[in-house]
Parts: sequence; structure tokens; C-alpha cells
Amino acid sequence: MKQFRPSKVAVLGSGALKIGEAGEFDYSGSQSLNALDEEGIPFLVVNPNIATLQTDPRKGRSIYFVPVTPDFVEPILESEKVDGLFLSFGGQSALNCGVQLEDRGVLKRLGVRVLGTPIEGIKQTEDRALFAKLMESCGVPVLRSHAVYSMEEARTTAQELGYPLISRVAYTLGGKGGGMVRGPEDLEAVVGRGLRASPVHQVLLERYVGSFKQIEYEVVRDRKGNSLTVCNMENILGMRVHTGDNMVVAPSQTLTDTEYQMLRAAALRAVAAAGIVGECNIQFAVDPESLEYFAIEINARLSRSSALASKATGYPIAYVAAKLALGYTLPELKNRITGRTTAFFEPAMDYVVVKYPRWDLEKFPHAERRLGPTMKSVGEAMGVGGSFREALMKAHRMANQSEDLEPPKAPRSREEVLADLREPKPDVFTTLMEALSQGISIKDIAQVTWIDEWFVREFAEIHQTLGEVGRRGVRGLSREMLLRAKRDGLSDGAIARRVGQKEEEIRKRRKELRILPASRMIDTLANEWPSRTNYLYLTYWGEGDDVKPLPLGSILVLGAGPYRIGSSVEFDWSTMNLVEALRAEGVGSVSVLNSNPETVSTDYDRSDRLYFDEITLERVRDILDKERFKGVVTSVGSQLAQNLTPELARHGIRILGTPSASIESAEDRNRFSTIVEREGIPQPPWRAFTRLEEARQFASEVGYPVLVRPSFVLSGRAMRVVPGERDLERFLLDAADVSKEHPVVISKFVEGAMEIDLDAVSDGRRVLVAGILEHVENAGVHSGDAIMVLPPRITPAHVQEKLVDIARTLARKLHVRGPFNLQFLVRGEDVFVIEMNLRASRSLPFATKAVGYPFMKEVARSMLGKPLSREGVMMPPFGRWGVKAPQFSFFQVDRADPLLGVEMQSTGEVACFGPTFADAFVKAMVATGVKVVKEGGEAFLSVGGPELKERILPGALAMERLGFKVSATEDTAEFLCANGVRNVRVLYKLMEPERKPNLRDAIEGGEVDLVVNVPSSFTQEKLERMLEDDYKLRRMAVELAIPLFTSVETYLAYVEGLSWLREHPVTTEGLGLPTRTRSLNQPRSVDLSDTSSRMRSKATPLPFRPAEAGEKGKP
Amino acid sequence: MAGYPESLTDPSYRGQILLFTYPLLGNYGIPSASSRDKFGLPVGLESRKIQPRATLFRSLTSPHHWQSSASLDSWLQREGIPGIEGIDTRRLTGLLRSGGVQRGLVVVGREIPSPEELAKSLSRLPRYQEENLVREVAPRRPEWISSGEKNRPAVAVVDCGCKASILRALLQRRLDVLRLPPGHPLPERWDGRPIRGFLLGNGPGDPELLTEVIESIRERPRRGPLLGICLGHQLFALASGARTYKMKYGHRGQNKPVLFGAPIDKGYILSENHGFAVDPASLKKAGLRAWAHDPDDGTLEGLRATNDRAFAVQGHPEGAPGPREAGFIFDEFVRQVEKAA
Repeated sequence: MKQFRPSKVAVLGSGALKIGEAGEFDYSGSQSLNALDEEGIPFLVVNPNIATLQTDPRKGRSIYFVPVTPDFVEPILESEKVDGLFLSFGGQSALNCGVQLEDRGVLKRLGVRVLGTPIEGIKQTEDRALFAKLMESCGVPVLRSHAVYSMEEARTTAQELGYPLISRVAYTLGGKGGGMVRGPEDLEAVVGRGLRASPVHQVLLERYVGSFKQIEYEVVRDRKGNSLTVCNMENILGMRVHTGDNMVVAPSQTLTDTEYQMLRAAALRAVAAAGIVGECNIQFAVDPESLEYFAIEINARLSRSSALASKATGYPIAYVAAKLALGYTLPELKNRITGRTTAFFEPAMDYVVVKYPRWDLEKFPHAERRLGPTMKSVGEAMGVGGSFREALMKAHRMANQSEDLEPPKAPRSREEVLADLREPKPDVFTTLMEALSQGISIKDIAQVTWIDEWFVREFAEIHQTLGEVGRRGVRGLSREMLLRAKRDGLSDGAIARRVGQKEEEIRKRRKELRILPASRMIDTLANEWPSRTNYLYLTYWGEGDDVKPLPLGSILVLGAGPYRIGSSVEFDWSTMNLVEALRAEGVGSVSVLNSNPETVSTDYDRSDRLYFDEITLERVRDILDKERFKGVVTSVGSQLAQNLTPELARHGIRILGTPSASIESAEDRNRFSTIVEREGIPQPPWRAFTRLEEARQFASEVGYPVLVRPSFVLSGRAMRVVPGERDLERFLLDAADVSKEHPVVISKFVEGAMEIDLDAVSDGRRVLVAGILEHVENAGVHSGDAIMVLPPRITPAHVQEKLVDIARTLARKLHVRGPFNLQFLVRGEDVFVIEMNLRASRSLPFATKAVGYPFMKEVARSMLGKPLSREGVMMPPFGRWGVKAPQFSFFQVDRADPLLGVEMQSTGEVACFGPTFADAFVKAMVATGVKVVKEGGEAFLSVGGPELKERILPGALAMERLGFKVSATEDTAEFLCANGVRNVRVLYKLMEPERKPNLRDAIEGGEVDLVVNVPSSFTQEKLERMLEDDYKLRRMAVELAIPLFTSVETYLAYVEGLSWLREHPVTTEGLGLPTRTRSLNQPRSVDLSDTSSRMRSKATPLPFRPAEAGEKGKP
Repeated sequence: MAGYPESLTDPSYRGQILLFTYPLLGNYGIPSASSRDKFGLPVGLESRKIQPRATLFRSLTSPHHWQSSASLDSWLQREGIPGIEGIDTRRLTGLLRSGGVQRGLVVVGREIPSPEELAKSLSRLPRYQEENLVREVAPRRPEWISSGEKNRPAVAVVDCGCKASILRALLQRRLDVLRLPPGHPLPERWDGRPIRGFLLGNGPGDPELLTEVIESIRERPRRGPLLGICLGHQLFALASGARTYKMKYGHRGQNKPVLFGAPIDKGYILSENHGFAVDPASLKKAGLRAWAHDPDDGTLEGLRATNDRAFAVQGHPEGAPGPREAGFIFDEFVRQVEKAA
């Protein structure tokens, strides 16, 4: 029974993946689209996140790749005649945008109804003061807290409440800007930062309850008030650590029924009071020693926790929430797992689920590592097991594959370990194990960590099992002992290392002893009803499988595991697009293995069978022992899946697509370079070495700077540009540690070159290029952090042809049958190959959507041994420019340096399209949070070395011409003035606070609207203090949300964008009408002779060119 | 998940072997068996001892909780109730679901007897339907429990093994409670105090065996107010002339959906534990109407007398373990009792 049937719905997405807002919103958005599809309601999606599945062009939907901000959304709502709005599927970004649209009166003016929870309810849950009032009205206790709007108010309030306090910020993601205030000395820093971060300049101060349990409930409620909790979750590290950075277990493990129901009842009361229609998450702090509790917050939308709850129980929360928003009631909806019961029930679990976060803090130099109220993790893994221990170990292993119960490298003192326990860091699990090894008692550990003793005992059980395995040795591994170890979640590898055996031997012994995992269904009802679900996990706690093997001819596709820097939603996109393409090519049954709850691929109705389990050699082989798969696909699940290829192949498992030997050749830089050399393809001089002396000699031969990297890397870990001999020596001591089995490679770093990515597919003979993607930045910035543009705007056609020729040659040479990605350096006429990945790449969704051709179809064909249905080079439709830009999360990671380099640091990406490069570029910038400088605003430039100053000059000149003010450091200002910039204000460095006007005052006073800081990092012998000064400047820019550019080319492109905006006056009321993507369905394959003429005509009328573009770009 | 101390002490499980589907048990230990609330009722437990004859679960964990006084293991041992750990509970659940609830046998010893021997032992056991389990769990004589409030109405509870939480739900709503053994005539007054209403509580076994109780309900001095819960729901139906039947598998869990008709018109998640149900086709003749049902299988979950002064639910509005938001059922009963006073 529906009340209001919208004629068209706009679904707001969450934009780029960032810390606090990640892949979970592709899951929720996609499920909401399914619900709309089912209802036959036309809809459109606003989301610049190019790598998501929800932005795949399909029949009956339009996709807008524009920033999710009112300026852009308003004209879309108007022109598309939208009358219904989905706000709760796109995270905080969508919610904020909706609230702003409401506040501006847009929704009223256009007659747009917010479907689901009304705006009023959203506001009451978002505004902390209103929230407290709401909770009191329904008898739910909240922490006594006070909203403050200034430092002065903060001081008074703090005095009243007493320390320690917690500072929370209204309307931000992932607790962004919040923090603990231990005493008056912290007040200024923490609250000041919060006030600046909050769009409404509001910070809430309250009692710090870090030692309390942190319990969450996921509540679903319909318009008639029927409500239920899908599940509850317990955060193992308690209140002290943000739930996004917490180990989370579902269901709660330490609550009695009285406590559980007390909180559940409070949750239902609170949710009813807020008038939620759909889904929400509510968080409680619970005293571990009494029945005292407080409601902390309500998220009136789908969230990371709801994605986890959905995957943990099999209850399709987002889908149900969408249906409820459309007016259905819970009893009217079916439980899709049983097919006969309704969605009005609470799932019963006969297993345990643990979520373990994935941090990548080592990618962020200087970053604060202590965990606290601000989230810093970039992804998570979910483990499903028959016991807490089994689930925990699965999750931990997937999130941190390198630390599978490895003993600590160097022994530490009891005090050091205790100190680490007191302030947990990402290695908290390892530290707990270390503490137990040190003999620190369970009670002591519980006391200093505030982890409930029950959990500490469980950790201790794992530790004991591990110890006993070691003590018994290989001879003493009885069936009982081995079964216990497996039931406690130990991997064959960890057992093998303990007893000094090979993993393979343990596996053999285990199978001889008939210790085999059983497949179990996640069926929402603990087997109380028969179910037909295909949602499975494996456990050592079962006898016999829940399901029979799939029919012959089935295929298993390995997913990408937890999101991390370098591998995120784009690989879920390739996984799912391949699954669909394989089916379309006639494969009867396609299964998926993945361990990441923030994904669409782990929606059980997207594949024929979903194994929610570890993507490890051991587990894949366990699954293959049960099933009769025709083959396994390892080339769409990022490096994680790809790395399993050689071992799987060695064990006789058929890899679909490119042969394993080729993958090994491409992965091993040494072997790959040999092949490239043999084919006469230029590459930067390189050499593999194992000894420092050889390296030093080689580097001085080819000349510094050199690029140093180990083989088998993902997103440039431990890879570095080394400017001189001393740095080389220092770095090699680290790198040699990283990889013993594979030699470390040193190559000449080609300065001033452009980098190009080429994405393609081959059937072994022919090649279809999906895109030739120019980087905007010069080489030296990781391709995951670089801005990419399509079509190429600088590279001439004959150079492009060279690239394609090389691609063809290498694809044939390596017998590529599937997707591949090539990376080139281009300097003038010279083309160098630097890397080849025989798998789907990060940029593939961008290329695919830009050209509008279902590229994955060709990938599926090639894997199945069919010929490609076309070859050549794909180009976007005429007049469409696409720009893909990285999203950084430097604000969230305290102290992280936003300087870009060969290590990837971005957490997500967007892509925008437009009639010119500049138009698309500006939108992409705005979509990643880089503001457009206000009219007459001031740009501050601090650039090192004469060469960089020369290159930045056109940007400064153009800014002045456009009426912006320019300021600079002493040296830079002197150069600019001498070269034609008329007015340059000198701002003295941060390290010279006595000299005025000082940079600090200008920035903190809001006088600077743009910061360009390009240190000449390749110059050796830099003064430490100067580097420190630059770092501080960049950090200030990040914390104050001032646009920051650390690359000359990006800055110049940005100025080009500003200039475009000037000539096309579309500044405040929506920055130009967004590109319609209807034409994305028209495939276009164009041969190069055609595109070259087009490109020249397209690329010339740029307002001005970067200085070096002429030499590079002219044919 | 949570709630094992309550389930294990629920008299409705008398005579059964209780299988837990959630894999971990004992996480928060058990509350002190001797602690009593202000009404003298046990806290965190539904009766004073473990009621099932045996328990089956996947694994016991080492407990920690501020209210824990002992581990589940030591409690089972103290009470002499066997428990089996380490079995594949999911598989067993599947067998029970497809084969229906059936008799079981826990054998202690080093040697596993042959299937024939086991079958023989099993056949010697009394059938569940034939056992008078109520006698084992019901009070032997009437007992008066005061809410501690002055000038409040009193109600009588027909106690066939009534959970402490049901009594507490009435006492907390400031009603004085007279606990009556099953079969005891329902009085108009007690010790000079008028009895304003009757609550028929839960209990174990087949309702049809309780002929004396059914008779006493039929002979009750006034037509209302009356509230039946679980077994009480079935007894009220039988006393009114409706029929009950044994379900194949029953409803057991804390997650059961119940859709209520007028005047509630809403769905609630309830805790349920019943292997028998009332036949909806038999209601009309008995002057009753269906009030609530399970949307999954259509089972009758609540009924009302045509005059609305007597009503009953199959699930447990008191939760324990399980949701308590259906407390409006007690509220309505209390309102009616107050009106009658």
C-alpha cells in the first residue's frame, strides 16, 4: 500500500571514497536502485564517483557525474522534473546536500519530496543540541553536553563539565574534526579545529566515556511505525575508538538479555521519536559495570555499520529501506532469502561475525597512529565463523595479510607493550598477542585497554592454542589439536610456521585427518526455515556441507578484499561487471569470493553463489575442493587476487584469461624488462640488484634521480624517487628488508616527462584499447594520485600510435587474454614503458564510462577464448572531455603530509565530463572538495628552485589577469615580480614568525584562498627546517580546507579552469549545466587517423598552455 | 544470542531437551540464583532452577560480566543437568525442522549404545504429550504477592509454571498478585480482597491435558478482565470452546513477527516458545475473534473475546529473553482491571 508514487526520483550518491565515507554507499545506493527498478519508477543518480556500480549507465536511468552539492543538484532536479528524492543512500554527503537544498527552499519551490525519513527528522538527529532534546523527550539518556560556538563558550563549558571531555563536530563525516580534550591545555587545539571544520561552527562538549562499551543497533522502521532491529554490534575497543576504526562483532557478546533489550527498546523509542522511515543506526555507550547507558548518536541514513549489519545477517537493509521510503510497510515485503517469510522479523544468527579495519597509515608519512574518536581506516574485512575466534582470525587475516600471527620482529619491554596497549594503534591485535606472550595477565590487559575481559580471554585462547601448536610440534599435531587450531581460526600457514613445516604439509595432514571446513548458509533464520540462499561461508564448526556443488562449467571470480589505498571500489566494479558479462556470454553460473562487507559483489543476489570468505590460497583451494569450477578469474580483483595466480596455477587450478606464466613475467620487473628489451621497446634504464655497491655504481652511471622499487608491489609501497647517493644508501636498508625473494629494481627517473596509462583488452591476437589516459601531473606522482584526462589533450596522434603498437606487441608476446594496463613515460617523441599489469586497472571504469562501451563484455569474451568483437582504440564521443581526479583524506589523518609522490595516498576518485577540458577539470576539483577561489581571492605561492618558479609563472600571470591577488614567499615573490607579475604581496615564512606580514596570520585570518606549495624535492641537501616549514604550510591548508596544489601542472590546469569560468559566467548558480550522459550508451570505436585531427582541433583553443606543453605536445 | 539464563529457567521448557542455535553460550555467566527483587522474585532468571532435562550447544565460553556469579558450566553441574558441547547445532536444527520436534535421549558413558538399544530406551520414555509437566513446575498452594502499593486492585494468576517476568510485569504495574496452583477454583475474593481480573500464564506441555484448569477457567466468577499468555492463550481458547493442535516444529525464538489487528493495527517482534497453537477455524463458535497472527505461516498469535474484556496472546509480551515492546498488552489488561475496580 503506497501513499505517494513519485514520477521521477533523484538518488544522491556520496561522491568519491574518503575516510569515513567509502564503498558501503555503493552497496546502499545500488540496492536502492534495484528497489526503484523493481517498482518501475524512473530515476537519476547524482554521483561523481566514476568507479561505482551505481553509476553504470543502464537503460532507464540517467547518471550525473557532478559534485553532490546544492549548486549542481538544483538545476538537475529542475530540468529533470524530479519529484522524489533519496537522501539516505549516499552517506553524509547526500544528507548534507539534502538539508542544504531544503534550507535554501529549493525542495519546496520545485515540489520535491524527500522520500523516507523527513528532513525534520534528519535535522533532529544531525544537530547535537536538537538530538539531546529529542532523546530526552523519549526517555533515552544522553550525555550531558553543550553546544559551543566560540572558544570563549568552550572554556566556560569545560569548566562546568570537568575533564576529560570529548569534542564532537556537527555535520561532518567519520567524526572529522572531533577529539579528546584531556585538560585545559588541549582545549584550544581540539575545539578550535572543530569549530573551523563544522559548516555551522558548532562543537559539542561532553563527558568522556572512553571506558564504556560501544554498542550499535541497526533499526528498520516503516511509515506505520512497525520497527525492528536487524542486529546489534559491539565495538571491541569500546567507546574510546571510533566504530570505523574498531574491531566490531555482531551480535554483541557481552550483554545480558536485560541489557540487550534495554538498549533495543531505547533504540526503537528514539527512532520512533525521530520519525525515521527506512533505516538508521543508533549508537550507545554502556557502562561495563552498571545499567547506566547513553545514546551517543543516530545516523538517519544507511551507514558503514548498516552495510556490515546487512552482510552479517543477510538482511538486505538498503533495499528494504528504499522500499519503505517508497511507502511499503515491513510485513508487505518478503524475506528474499527464504522467499516465503516476510521482511518483518529479526534475523537470527547461528554464527559470529567480526569486522576488522584496514588502515594504511604507513602510506602517510608523519601520520598520527593512535586510534581515537577520529576515523582513519580506509577499509575493512568481515570474517564469518562458527566461533568468535574463527571469525576474528579470518577478519584480521584479510585486513592485514602480512601479519598472520607473525611473532614481533624485535622483543620489547613490558612497559613498551603496556604503553601501546594503553593507546592502541593499528597493530592492536599484534600488540595484544605480544602482551600475552609477555605474560601480562588477562586482568591487566583488560584494565589498561578497556577491552571487556571476555574478549581478552578469547584473545588469550587463540594465543594459547598457537602456543600449544608450537610446543607440540609437527609430531604432536593430533587430529584433536589440529581441529582445535582450525576452529580457533589459525591458518595452515600460521600453524606451519609454528611447527617449522611447509604450509602444504599442514594442508596435506589436515586433509588426511579429514579436518575440512564445511560450507554454511547465511540464511537469516538460523536454519529454522528452509532457505534457498546462495550466501555461504566456510567453517570448521560444521559437519557436512549445506549445499551441493554447482553444475559443471561454473566459474569463480575472486573479488578484491578489503578496500585499501590502491585497491578500492573500482575493483568491485570490475568484479561485478565481469560476473554480468560472463553470464551474458553464456556462462550458466558465476560465483564470487570476497571478504569485504562494503561492496556490491557481496550482495548475495548478484552472483550464483557468494562465498563470503577469505581470499587466500588456502581458502580458494578449500572452495575448489568442494566445487567443480571450470576456472578461476584472478584478474579483476586487484593485486590481491592477482597475486594468488601463480600458486593456484601450480596446484593445477585453471586460471581463466591470461596464463599464469605471463602474469609472473609481467609482475617480476626483472623478467618483464628483459622481454621489453628484447622487443626493442624503450624503457628507462633499469637494473635489478641485491647488493648496495652494485646499486650505487648503477645509479651514478645513469645519474640521479633514480626510482627504487621492489617487485610485487601494490600502489608503490616502499617505492621512492631517490635524489642522491646518500638517500639511496639510507633507503636501501629499508627496501632490502621488504623483499628478499624478489630483487629490488632501480631505474632512471625521467624528469619532466608525462605519464600515460593505457587500458586495453586482448584475445591473444587483437587488442582493443579502452583509453589512452594522460596524466595531468608530470611523472613522479603515483598513477592512482594523478589526474587523468580523456581524450589525450597533449599527446600527438603519432605518439599515441606508438603506444598502441607497443600494447599490441606486448599483448601478443605475453599471450594476454583479458584486461591489461600499460604505463608509459612520454617526453617529446620518446616513449618509455614503465609497467604492465595483466589485470583490470583502477582507471578502467573511467575509460569504460567515458567512451560508453561495455568493455567488460570484451574482457569476458577474451577469457572464454572467444575473439574480441572489435579492435582499435576507443574514444569518447565527440565533444566530451573526461577528467578523473583523486580524492584525498588528509584532513582525517592527523599530521599526514599532503605532498604527492610515488607512494599512492588518495582514498578515492571522481570523474566529471564536459565540453572542454577546463569545464570537466573544475567540476572534478569541486567534486573532490577543492573549492573555486572566490572572485578577487588571493593565491599564495611557495615554489622551490628556479626551474619550478619558471614553470609556475604562467599561472601567476593568469591569476593576476583574472583579477586574483597573488602572494608569495620572499624568493618566489622576487622572481614573479621580476617576470611580469605586477602586484605580489610578500608573506614571510612560518619559521620566521617575527617577520610581518606573516604567512600564519594571513592563513589563519582567512586572507589566503589558495595555496601552491611545490618544494623542489629532488634537490639534495635540503635544510631540514625548510622542509618542516613547507610541511606545516601544507598541513595548515588541509586543516583549514584551503585548496592546496603541490604539483605545478595541476595548479596550471586549475587556473585554466578559473579562466574558463570567467569566460563562461556560470559561477554561483551551478557551475554550468551538467553533462547529460544519455549518449553513454552509444559505442564509438574510432581509428587513430580520425581522432588525431579531431583532437588537434579540440585541444588548441585553450586559454593558455603550461610552459612545457609546447615542447611536449607539438607533433 | 543473549538470554540463556532466562530460557534455561523458563518452566515452559520443562521436560524438554533445549538446543541453542547461537554458537556461543555462557559469555556473561549466570546471575546469582539467590538474588531477589523487591517482590521476592528471582532476578535474571525465570524460576529458581534449570527446567529443561538437558541442553545442547556448540561451545561454552569463559564468562565475564559484572552481574555474573558463576559460569554456566558450573551451574549446570550444580543442578545436575547434562549439557553436550561441540555438536553441529545447525545441522541438528535442520533435522528437527524437517522431522519435527521429537523425543531425544542424552546418554552418558564411554560407549555409545547401538541404534537398536537407543531406540528401545527411547520407546520406554513417557511421551511428551502424556506427561503432566505442569505438576512439576506449578506452585502447590496459593501465594499472595503484594506490589507494595496501597489501594491497588488485585488479580489472580493461574500458574502452570508462570515465568517470574510475567508476575513482575503485573507487580511493576502496581497490581497485587494472587498466584494460584493450576486447577484451583478462580475466586471472586481472597482474604476479603476482591479479585478484579485473571491472568493465565505460560507453562509446559499439551494444553488439552489440563482439563481441571480448563474447567476452572470456564467456571471463573466474572467474564473479565482476563489475559492469557502462551499456554494461557491456548487454555483460554479451550475453555471458550475452541480447539488447539500440535505444531510440527513450533515457534521458538526471540525474533517472531506478530501482526496485531484492531485496536493496535501494528506489528511487533515478540519472543515466542510454543509447540501448540489455537485453530483459528474454531474461534467463531467459541465467541472469540482472531486478533493477531504470524505473517510467515499464518499461525494464530492472539485472540479476543467478542466483548473485548478477555484477550490472549501466544507470544511473550514480557520478553525475558527477548523484546519487551509488546508491553502494551499488560497495559491494556491493567487498564481494564482498574476500570473494573
